[in-house]
Amino acid sequence: MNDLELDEALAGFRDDVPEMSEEMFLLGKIRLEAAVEPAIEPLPEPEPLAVRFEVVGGRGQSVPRSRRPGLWLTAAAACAVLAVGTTLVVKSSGDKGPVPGVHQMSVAQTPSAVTQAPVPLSTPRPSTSYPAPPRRPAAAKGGPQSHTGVRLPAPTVVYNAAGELAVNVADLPVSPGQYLFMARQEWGKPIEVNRNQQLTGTPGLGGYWNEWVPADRSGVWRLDRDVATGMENGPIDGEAPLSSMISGRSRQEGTFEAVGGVYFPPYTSWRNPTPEFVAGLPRDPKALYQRLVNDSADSYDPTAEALDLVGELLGRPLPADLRRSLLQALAYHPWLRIDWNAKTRDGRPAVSLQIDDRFIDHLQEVLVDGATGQLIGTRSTQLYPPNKPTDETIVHWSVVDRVGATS
Amino acid sequence: MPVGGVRTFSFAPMSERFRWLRAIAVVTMASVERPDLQGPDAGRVLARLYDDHARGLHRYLARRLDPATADDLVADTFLLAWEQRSRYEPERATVRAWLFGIATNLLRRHARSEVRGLRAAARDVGRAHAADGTDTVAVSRADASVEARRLGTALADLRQEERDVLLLVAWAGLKPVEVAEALKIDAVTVRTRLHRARSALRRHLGAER
Repeated sequence: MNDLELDEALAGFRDDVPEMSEEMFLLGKIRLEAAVEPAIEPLPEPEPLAVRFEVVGGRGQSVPRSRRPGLWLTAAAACAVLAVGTTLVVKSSGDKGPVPGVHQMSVAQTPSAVTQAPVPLSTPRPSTSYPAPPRRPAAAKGGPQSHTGVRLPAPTVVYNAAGELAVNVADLPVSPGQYLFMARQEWGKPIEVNRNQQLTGTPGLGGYWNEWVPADRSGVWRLDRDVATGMENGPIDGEAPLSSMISGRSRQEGTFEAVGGVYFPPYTSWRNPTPEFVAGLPRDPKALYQRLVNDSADSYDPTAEALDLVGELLGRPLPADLRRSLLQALAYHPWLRIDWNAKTRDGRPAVSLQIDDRFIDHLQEVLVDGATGQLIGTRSTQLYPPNKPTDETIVHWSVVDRVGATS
Repeated sequence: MPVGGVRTFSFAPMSERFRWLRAIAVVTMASVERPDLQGPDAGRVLARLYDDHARGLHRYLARRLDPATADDLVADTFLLAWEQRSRYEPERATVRAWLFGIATNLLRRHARSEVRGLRAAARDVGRAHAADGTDTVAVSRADASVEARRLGTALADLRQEERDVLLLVAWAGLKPVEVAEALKIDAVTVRTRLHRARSALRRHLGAER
């Protein structure tokens, strides 16, 4: 396809959208005019009520009594209450034991205890071991002030405890003839498909990605996939199927087989990795983090993009050494937060590595099994009302005896 | 004395005579493309900009999302333009590019819906489902075509940054330098993203043929 053909194809794509209706045009203009009209000036402050004091009974002019002493009395009473409260709190910290209703700081919550006593994984702990620098916004809210966010800083100090998740990372034992089986279910906020302005369906309810990886990773992998189970599909007329497709209807839906899992045109990247890309990533956490810094730089919010890239890669069957390094690399991320008590959509306990994507206003989460360091889900939640998840996945890993088997 | 007693006049060439007209035209065009939004007339200027650009913005947004969402986003674009008029620098960008920049920025919350809509465009036939809280995405008649189905997949696979640049050029008709002004990024980055996006699309479409 040459440039001219590409331009023509793009120009013709969705070129028959309806014009803006006159009603909506006028409504938009009315909204604008209402906004630009000078605000109605507030009414002037009413004059304070004048109080006249009259001489009663010939005792001479009385002096109005100030109400201030009353205010002072009220303030004094408030101070007294505070003082009593303080006394109670002080007493509660004495040797007489806890007072009901007064919060006691447990030993485990003191900073010194956290640093001294090892805490098992999947229990709450401070997510930051070094104070992170203030984070600048990725993009100005609502305006095109800075679409390209602030580049992540180079790895200097460990900012969080993500590296602790690497402790237990290991490959599931897969014997020759067996397969590592990864089953991912995907949910997305439904969309309504509008064909010729007739609502015909709401696809995007879900999809799946089931993958079988042989014990020898250089062998043939299999993928069974559908990106939108809620919507019918069909082959594209005249289109030769991908060489990796062994059955199915299109690139979006079908069964594919390929050496090393390269099912689709080889876009060598974090989101569609080839074995060469995986092998070429550094295993040294600092170097790997630096690679994330570089590869996320050209995005709207590099701080969130770095986590997203890691999540994409952990969602593929990676060797344990790389998974370990990825988790350790994230420890250099200054703005990564960790929730040690998260849950996946199907209720499994998870450690949530999370960050606010300030460009799309969503909380991005990579959910990891604290016991194995395996990715078990992802979630993207609106940071604006109604604050609901818009995209979620859950991932299950197991070992099966033959390709195509699910248990 | 003129020859034959007839006074002759020396006319300046046409181009000279209308130089002042051209100058006025250039000044007028400049003030139309790069109006002053700081002055007391800013409200009136913006209302005129609405008349000139609302429909074009709507078309761009409707192609990326759907007509109903585009209705809201057009209004939001101008409200935001009013709120942020002090940030507009006429010497740096045309007002059209600035408005498309705001609109593109407003698309961000709908990025995932846009991708799903593009994937839907790559499917064959829709099947009805009842669901609450849905986003509406337009899939036009052209989507039934083979090419549209291929393009839907290819556009969905692009990075958002690349898709923004590509579609600002292809659908909004901005030049790369105007895209740079709209998105406040340097022109080299725009050209790089545009090149990457076009290459990815060609590769994608070529690979499936």
